[in-house]
Amino acid sequence: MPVDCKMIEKPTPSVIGSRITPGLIAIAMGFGAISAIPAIFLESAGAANIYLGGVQELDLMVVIMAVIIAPIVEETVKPLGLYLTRKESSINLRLIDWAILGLFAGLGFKIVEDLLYIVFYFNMDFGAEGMLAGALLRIHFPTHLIATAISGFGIGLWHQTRRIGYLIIAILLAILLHGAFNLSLII
Amino acid sequence: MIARVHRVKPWASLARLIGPLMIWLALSYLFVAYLLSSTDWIENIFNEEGQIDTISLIIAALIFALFGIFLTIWGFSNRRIDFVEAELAPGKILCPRCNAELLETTSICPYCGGKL
Repeated sequence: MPVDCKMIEKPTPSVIGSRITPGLIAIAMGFGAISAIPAIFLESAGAANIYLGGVQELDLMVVIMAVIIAPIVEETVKPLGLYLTRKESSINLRLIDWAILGLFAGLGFKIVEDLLYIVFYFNMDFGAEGMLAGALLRIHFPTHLIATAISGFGIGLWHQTRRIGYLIIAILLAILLHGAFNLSLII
Repeated sequence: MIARVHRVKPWASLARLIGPLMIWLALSYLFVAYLLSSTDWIENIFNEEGQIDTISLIIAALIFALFGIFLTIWGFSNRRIDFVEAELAPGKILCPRCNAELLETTSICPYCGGKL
């Protein structure tokens, strides 16, 4: 039977693209959780610099920390696992898969951050009752998930287009969202 | 589907995911506002120092809800884009099998072994 050449299509990456796997999710989530450690050190360094820079009023320092320093530091370090995944040049995920990996990285970070806040801050300042209340107030907010999903999508666009500008735009959007969220809680 | 790079369209695919999450965020604000205003023991713990204002929480919930609804509608009214074309430097190509960046003169991909 003669084959109509017009019917034969060149394979595209969407046909042979890789798929998100439990291993990739574990890398994204694990590194997201681990990234809480450098975030703590960088934020502490940021706080020290603000203090040494002349801002010694506690309220103003809290605002600068929550709205500027914390979002910049956290949104930069959270997608650590995704940066490493991107280095694997043979990976060919869909854009939405990159965003989902970002979501898991944010979840890993959120679990560690919430645990630290609940066990240390709420427990020490308000006691056991405060710990429960703190958990009720904190754990359902998906801010970290959304912000890191945006960053993950940016990493996916960067990986596919080879243009780092997409990553910078995505990180800036994530910082903006995180900053707006923190601002809404302290005003 | 593979698409040419477009400034806005790929982001609509992201909006499909984060739009509903924004609505969840708005509901979280409302839940916290409810807890603080109607649950005495939580209010006693945190609001003695006037730490959280429920009005600002409700305003934030409304803003995020509207933004979330807009993103969801915008995201689902556009076609989902999974792959975009690479913007490569002259003389560079991508391996169609593994997406690695290669020189134009390459005949066999060193990463996946695919013939170009």
